[in-house]
Amino acid sequence: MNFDRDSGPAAACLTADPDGFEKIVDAHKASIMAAAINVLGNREDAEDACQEAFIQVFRHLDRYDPRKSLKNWILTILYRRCFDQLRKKRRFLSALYRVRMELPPETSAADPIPDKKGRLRAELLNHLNLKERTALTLWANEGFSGQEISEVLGCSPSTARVYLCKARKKLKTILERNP
Amino acid sequence: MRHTKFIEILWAAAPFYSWKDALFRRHIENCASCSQGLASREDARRVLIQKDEVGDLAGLWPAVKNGICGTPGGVSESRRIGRDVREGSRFLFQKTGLGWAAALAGLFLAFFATFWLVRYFEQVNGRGGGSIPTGINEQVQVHYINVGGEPAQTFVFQPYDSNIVIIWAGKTAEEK
Repeated sequence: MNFDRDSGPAAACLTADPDGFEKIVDAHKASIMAAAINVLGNREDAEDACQEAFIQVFRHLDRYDPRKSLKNWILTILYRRCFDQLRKKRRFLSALYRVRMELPPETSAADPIPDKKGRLRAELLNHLNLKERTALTLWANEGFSGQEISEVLGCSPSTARVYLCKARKKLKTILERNP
Repeated sequence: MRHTKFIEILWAAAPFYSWKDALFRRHIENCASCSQGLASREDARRVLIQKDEVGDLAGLWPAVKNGICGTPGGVSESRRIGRDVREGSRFLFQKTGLGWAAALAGLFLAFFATFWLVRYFEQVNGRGGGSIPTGINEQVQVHYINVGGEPAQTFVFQPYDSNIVIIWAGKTAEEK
C-alpha cells in the first residue's frame, strides 16, 4: 500500500489497526512536524501538537472523506491543535508574566545566539499571526493553492488568499530589513 | 464621490464571491507592482523549516501509539475516560429524555435556593415579617405570657448598643 499521498481507502480500513496506522504516521510525520514548527515556533510545542493531531486522526478516521487528500485532513487537524496550543500557552504566559514581574531579570548569557535564519523566523513569528503563518507554510512548503489553504483554515478561498498575501508582504518587508 | 461610495457598497454587498476571488487572484498573478511587494515561494522556503530539517522523529510514533492504545495512568487514558463520560452523559441526556428532567430539577433547585437566600437576608437585615423591631425608636411590647396556664413574670431586656432583645418569662411564685 502506498501512503505517500492520498490514501483514503487505506486509511478508512485501518480504523482499528494501530500498527497499520504507523505507516500513515511515517509517511507524513516530517512534513507535519515541519508545518507545526513553522506555525508554533518551537520544537517542544510542535511535537505535542503533532502527537495530539495524529492521535485525533486515528480516533476519527471514520469521519475522513476518502475523496479528499489525507494530508490536507491531517494538516487541518494539526492547525486546530496548534491553535489550541497557542491559546493555552498565551494563558500560561500571562500568568507567568505576573509572577516574573516580582523576580529579578534573567541573564541572557546562557541563551545561544540565533543564526540568521533563526532571527528571521523569530521576526516572522512576531509579525505574522497564526493564520498568516499557516497560509505561508502551506503555500511555500506544501505547494498548496488558495482553495486548499482555505480548507485547512476553514475559511473562504478569497480570505485564505488575503492571509497569504499579507504574509508574503510582511515576509518581503522582513527580508528587506534583514538583507 | 457619492457615486463611487455607492459602487463600493454595492461591490461589497454583491454575493459574487467566486467571481471576486477570481479577480483578486488574477490581479495578484498579473499586477507587477503588487507582485514586487510580495515575497516569492523561494524566499519563504529559505526562512521556513523544511521537512528535511526537522531532525530525528523516532520518538513520535511510540508516543502516538501510547496515546492510541491508552497507556494506563497516562494523559491519553484520562482523555479517553473523559470522552467516554461525555459520550455516556450525552446518551443519557439526549436519548433517554433525562435532560429535561435534569433541567427542571436544576431550575427548581435554583428557585428554592434563591427563595431561601432572600428570606435569610431579609431576616438578617431585619426587614422580614417575623423579625423583632430593634431600632432606637422601636420597642418590644409583650402583652402577656402564660407559663403552665398561668400568667408569668416577664422581663424584657435589651443590652446597651446591641440588637439583641432578651425576653425572660418566669413562673410566678405560688402564694402560700
